[in-house]
Amino acid sequence: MPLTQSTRDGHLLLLVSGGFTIFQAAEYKPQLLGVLDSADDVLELDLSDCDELDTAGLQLLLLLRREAIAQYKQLLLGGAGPAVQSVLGMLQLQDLMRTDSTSLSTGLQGLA
Amino acid sequence: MKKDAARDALVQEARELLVAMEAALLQIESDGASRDAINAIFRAAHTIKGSAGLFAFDSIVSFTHLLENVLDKVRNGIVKLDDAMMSLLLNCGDYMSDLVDAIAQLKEDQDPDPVRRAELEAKLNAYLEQAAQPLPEVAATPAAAIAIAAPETQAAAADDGAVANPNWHLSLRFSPDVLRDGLDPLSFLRYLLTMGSTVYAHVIDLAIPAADDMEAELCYLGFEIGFASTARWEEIDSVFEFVREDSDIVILAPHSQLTAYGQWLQGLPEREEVALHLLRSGALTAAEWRQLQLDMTSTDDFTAVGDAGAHVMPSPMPVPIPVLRQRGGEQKKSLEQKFIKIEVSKLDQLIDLVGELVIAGAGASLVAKRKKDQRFEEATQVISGLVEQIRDAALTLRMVQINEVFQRFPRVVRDMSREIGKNIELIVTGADTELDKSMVEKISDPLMHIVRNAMDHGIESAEARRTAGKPETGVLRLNATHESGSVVIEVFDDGRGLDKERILRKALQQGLVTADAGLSEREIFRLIFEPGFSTAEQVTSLSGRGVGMDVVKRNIDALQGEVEIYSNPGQGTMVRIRLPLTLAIIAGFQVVVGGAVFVIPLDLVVECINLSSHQVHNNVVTLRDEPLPFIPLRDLFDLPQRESPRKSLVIVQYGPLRAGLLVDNLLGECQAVIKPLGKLFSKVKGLSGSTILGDGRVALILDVPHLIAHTGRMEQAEVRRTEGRMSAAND
Repeated sequence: MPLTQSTRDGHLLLLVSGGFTIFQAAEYKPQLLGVLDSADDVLELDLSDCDELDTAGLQLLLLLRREAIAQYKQLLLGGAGPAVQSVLGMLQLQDLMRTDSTSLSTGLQGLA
Repeated sequence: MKKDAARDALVQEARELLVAMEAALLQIESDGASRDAINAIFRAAHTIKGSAGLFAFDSIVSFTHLLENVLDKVRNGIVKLDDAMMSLLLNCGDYMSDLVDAIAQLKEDQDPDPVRRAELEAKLNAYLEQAAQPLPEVAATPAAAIAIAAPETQAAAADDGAVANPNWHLSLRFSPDVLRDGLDPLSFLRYLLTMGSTVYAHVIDLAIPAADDMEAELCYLGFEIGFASTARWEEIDSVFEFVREDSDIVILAPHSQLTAYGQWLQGLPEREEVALHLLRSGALTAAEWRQLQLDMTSTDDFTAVGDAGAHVMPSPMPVPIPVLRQRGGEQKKSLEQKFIKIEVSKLDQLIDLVGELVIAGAGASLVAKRKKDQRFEEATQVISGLVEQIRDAALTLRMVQINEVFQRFPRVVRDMSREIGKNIELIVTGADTELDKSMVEKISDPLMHIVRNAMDHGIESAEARRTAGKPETGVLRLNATHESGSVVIEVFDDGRGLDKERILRKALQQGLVTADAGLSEREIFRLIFEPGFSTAEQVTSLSGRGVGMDVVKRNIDALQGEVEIYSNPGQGTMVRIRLPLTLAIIAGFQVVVGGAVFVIPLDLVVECINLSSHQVHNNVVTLRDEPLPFIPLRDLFDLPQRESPRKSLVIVQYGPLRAGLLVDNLLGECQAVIKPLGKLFSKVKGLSGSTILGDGRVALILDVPHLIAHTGRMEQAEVRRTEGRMSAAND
C-alpha cells in the first residue's frame, strides 16, 4: 500500500512510498484530503520512500498545504527522499512545509 | 470504423517514429551523441506515449513512460549514453515495435513478450536508481558570480530603459492538459538546468481551484524562474519545443526593457504576486519596481496596451515581447504542411483513372488520324502530350526513395555483426533512388535475406581475414541506381566469394544437376537460387537452413525482376537485383506479328533494323560485325504466316544482354496501361501482361527479360545439338 497511515509523536503521519505522479494523482487526491480532514492539528507527511515526484504530485502537495492553512492545521514534511529533495531544491521550495522536525532542514542543507 | 482508421494512423505514426528513433540511435553510435539526435529519440518516445495514451493502450504507455524517464536523464546528462545504454535503447525500440504490432493486430491486451519486458524494465529501472541522486547543479553560486556584474550595468540601464537584471527571466504557464499529454513540466526545468542555473524560482499555485473542483490530472502550476545562462535565446526557447501548443512561455532576456516586463505582467492574472516575487528575488530593483507599478497603473488608464510599445527604446538585446510569446506552435505547422498523408488506395484509384485516360486519349488520336483533319490531329497531339505528363506525375506520386528499405540495414548489420562476432561496416549509396511504393514493400524481405547471407557466409571472421591479408573489418555495400528503365539494387561484400566447386558438389549431391551438365560460372551461381539448395555446413540462427534464396528469387520474379550473382574467390560477392520502375503504366512500342499486335516496353528497345539488309544464319544476325541472336516471334507464338515485303528486327536490351525480336511490322510508340494476364496465362513465358489499344483491341506485352534469356537457352541447345552430332559422327 503506497499510502500508509499511522501516528508519530501523537499526530497523524502519512507515509507516501513509490511514485507520487500523474499516475497516482487522481487516486491520491481524495485520500490525501481525507487524511488531512481526519487530522487533529498536525499532519506529518513522510516522503522518504517516495522515489518519484512530478508536477502532478507537487501540485497535490501545494493543494494540501493550502487546505491545511485554510483548516488552521499544521502540515509537516517529516522526510524527503532524494527524488523529492531534488524537485524541492530545484524550485527552491525547501520551506514548502513548515517544519519543526530537523530531519528535513538538515536534509536540504546539503542541497543548497 | 472510425476508431479503426485512427488506430491505423496511430500504428503507422508509431512505426515511423520508431524508425526515426532507431536512426537517431545509430547516428549517435556512429557520430557520437548530439543534442539533436537525443532530442529526436526523446520526441519519438514521447509522441508514441502521447498517442497511445489517447487510446488508453496502457501497456505501451507505461513502458514508454519508463523509457522516457531514462531518456530524460540521458538528455539532462545524468545518465551516460554508453554502449550498454545504446543496446538497451535499441532493444526497447524493438519491444515497442512489438507492442505496436500487437496494437495493429488488435491484441493490445496481450503482452507480446512478457519476459523481455520484465528484463528491459529491470534494466531501465536500474538506470533510474543510479540516477536518483539529487541534481548537483541546483546551487546558485554561478548566478552570484554573474550578479556581481550587475551594479556596473545598473547606471547605464537607467538611461535606456533596460533593467539591471543580468539573468533571464522565464515565465512558464503550461497548458492545463500538459500532464495528461504525458509531459512533466519539471522535466523541462531539469533540462533547462543543463544550460545554466536557477537564480530564483517561484511556483505560482494561485490557479489551483478549490479542493473539490481541482482535477488532479490537470496542471495548474506556473513557474517564474530566474535563470543564469550564457545560452542563446533560441537554445532556451527550444527547451519548450514540445509544449508550445496552448502553453504560455515568456522568455525575457537579460537586461530586457522594463516596458517588456510591464507588458508581460499586464497579461498575467497573478501579476500582483509575480511582481512582488520579482522585487523580493532581486530580479527588479526597487526603483525599477516602482517605475513598473507606475507604468502599469498608467497603462491601465489607456485601453490600448500597444501604446506602451511605441516608446520602447532599442536595447542591447532587442527582443520584442510579441515574438517571445509562443502561440500555438505556428512554426511547427508550417513544417507539417510540406507533406500530406494520402491513403494509398486513393492514389491507386488516381493511377487507374490516368490509365483509362491514356487509353481514351489513344482512341481519340486514332479517330483524329482516320478523319485526316489536321487541326483535330494537332489538338489530340497536345492532349496526348499532357496526358503523358499527367501519367508521369501520377506515377511519381507513388515513387518513394529506396531509403525506406535501406534504412533498416544499419541496425541489422550492427546487431548481426555483434551476434556472429564479425566486424562489418555498412556503406549505403544511392539511397535516394526512387522506386514504386509497392515494389519497395516487396523488395524489403528478399534484400534482407541477401544481406544476412552476405554477412553470415560471405564475410569471413576477423582471423580468417587477417590470414588472407585483408583488413579485419569487412565491408558490406548497398547500392541503388537507375539503369535503362529499371532500378538496380546491388549488395556487395568483400568476403571470401562463392566457392564454385563446392556449390557444384552440393548441387550434385542434392540432385539438382547432373555431372555432365557443363554449366557456366553464372549458371553455377544461379544454383544457389534452386529450392532446397544450401551449402552451409553449419546451421546458424541466421541462415543455412536451406530456405531462403529460392524464396528470394521467387519474390523478385514476382516483381518482374531479376537477380544475378557475381563473385570472385577471395575478393567478394555481388548480388544484383534488377527491378522494373513501375508495374502500372509503361511507354510501349507496338509491333505487328502475324496480324496480332504486341507491345514491347519502350525503355528496353535499343533500335530497329531492316533484317533483309543483314547477314542471317541460324537465328543469329551479324550486326556491325557482331553476332546477335534473335527470336522470330511468329515461330515462338505459332502465328499464321503472312507475307510482308520486309522483316524488321527490334533490338532490345535488358541489363547487359541484347537480343533481336523479328516482327512483321512496326507501329510506333504508345502508352500502355498494364493489365495483368489472367490465371490461365500465368505459366506462359514470354508475356508479362496485356493492354488495351486505342481502338479497343487487346495487345499482349512481351516479357523481354524472359525472351532474352530464351535466346541464351536456344544457343546452348544449339551447341549441345552440334556437339551431339559431332560425337555421334566420331563413333
